[in-house]
Amino acid sequence: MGIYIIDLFALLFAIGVGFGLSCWILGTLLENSNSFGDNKGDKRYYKAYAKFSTRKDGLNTTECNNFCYSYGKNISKDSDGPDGQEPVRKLTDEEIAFYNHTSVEEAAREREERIKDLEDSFNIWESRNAKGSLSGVFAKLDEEEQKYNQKGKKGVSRR
Amino acid sequence: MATLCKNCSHALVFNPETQKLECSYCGSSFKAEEIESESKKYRQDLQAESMDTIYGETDGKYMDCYVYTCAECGGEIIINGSESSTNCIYCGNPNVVFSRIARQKCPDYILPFSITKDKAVSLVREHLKKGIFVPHKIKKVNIDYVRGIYLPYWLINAEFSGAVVLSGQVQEGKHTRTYYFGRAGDINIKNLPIDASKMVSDESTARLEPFSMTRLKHFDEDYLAGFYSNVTDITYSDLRSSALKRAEEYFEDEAIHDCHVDNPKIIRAYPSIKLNNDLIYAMLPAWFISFKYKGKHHTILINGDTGKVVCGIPWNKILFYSLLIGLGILTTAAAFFLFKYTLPLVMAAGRSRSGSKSGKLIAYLVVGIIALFTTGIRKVVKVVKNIKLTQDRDTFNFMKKRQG
Repeated sequence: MGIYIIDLFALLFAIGVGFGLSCWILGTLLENSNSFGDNKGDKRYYKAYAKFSTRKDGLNTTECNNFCYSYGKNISKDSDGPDGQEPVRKLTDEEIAFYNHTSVEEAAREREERIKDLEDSFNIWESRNAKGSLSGVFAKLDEEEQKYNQKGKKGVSRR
Repeated sequence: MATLCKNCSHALVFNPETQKLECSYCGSSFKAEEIESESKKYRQDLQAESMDTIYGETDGKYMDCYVYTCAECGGEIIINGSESSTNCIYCGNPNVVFSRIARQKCPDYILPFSITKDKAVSLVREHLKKGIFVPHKIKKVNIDYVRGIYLPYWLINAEFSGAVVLSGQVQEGKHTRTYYFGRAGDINIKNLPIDASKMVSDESTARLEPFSMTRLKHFDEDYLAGFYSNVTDITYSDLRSSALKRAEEYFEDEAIHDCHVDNPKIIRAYPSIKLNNDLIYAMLPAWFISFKYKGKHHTILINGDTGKVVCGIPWNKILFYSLLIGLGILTTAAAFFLFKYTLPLVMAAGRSRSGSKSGKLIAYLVVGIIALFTTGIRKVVKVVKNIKLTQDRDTFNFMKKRQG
């Protein structure tokens, strides 16, 4: 009788392992075979790194309910911009100055800086291209890497 | 209107391989920035006329249809409300609707196509050929349409602030306990591309990323020659919600990684975003390739810069399930003999000492089996989701409605 029970358990486990493993193997094969490009742009391309100002572990129910209200900031209410129903367009320096509550000169200077920031990355690519080193072409260098490279050190590994 | 060859006045077409505008008639080639077209100023004032105006309708019967005249043959080109370049249906020459990219509406940057039409098709064929579960008919399928389209994007700088509460399991000796964690913080995002076209789903276009922004060029309409393009048609509220969604994903991802727990789940969130009003308008390249299988249209997207293929292909279900059952039976048989001889040993060991070790082993086994099942099923669901995105009617219509 004991032998039969062990056989029954062995069979149940075997079915679980056998079909679980096959499901995993064939699921992986199917994903590799029929699904392509199922990922979005990584955060490092847009410097989207979070800086946590508050970390609380082991919250109880009341703390869970209150956490978002206590530490969440509604920064969108501080932003001034065109109405939500308006089609998106390039704003003039005057409009940017109006919405940002700054001077037109300041708005123009900020725009120039924004474009310069983007174009600096073009130059890095151009110089790398000229040197024949196209490693990391699809990711911009972060500040740390730029400083590292400026020091003339070689062999910087990408994150 | 088309940019014409200086030597023979034939329409020029941009070649992604040489990154030059080429004349198919006399073989001349020019760099886009070298071409100084005297008529550019004049062309900026040309307007596409609404069909309603032409046919004297006032009830918006021909809504979103505009008529433009081909510079080469004088034929009528019909375009929708957001198209900015197309090909003439009569002579096949490229035409740019200048009024839609003039002055304030002009994009700041453009990322020219680097992948040629042939390369895009061969990349797709390569992927299809490799797939073991891709039905034989799809491997040899006739491609219906191939369209190179410049998609409009807004590159945004934004400040994100978020607070999340997440639950996760922590191993404590023999037991696992669920704990709750709170994380609050900010993200400063730089140059995040947000799809500015209502007609294509954000989910599809986000998958085309990354684009190599380091290769952006100052906008020149000559890069559009030979390709289709659309201008922005989204509202500020669309832009804000798309940016918020993306930033929230990044924040939640980092919060989850910061907690180091098993089975993390976001249970509460308070996201908020502030967009910089200074937006950069760019056109980024994508190839749309479509084919028909079992009465349904499938549209494969290819990043026109990096060649990244985005799609989900229907699978050969008979082959998949026969392999699943076959492999399942084989591994079950092997596992049965393994358990048949090892289980008595495990149980005997449990009886002689404390039963906790054998019990633990069995518990691990059960958890392992469940994990294998769920991972496998999750992968299948991922493919199904991707297939649905590839079958999206809006994406197909967005591409199909182009002339030429």
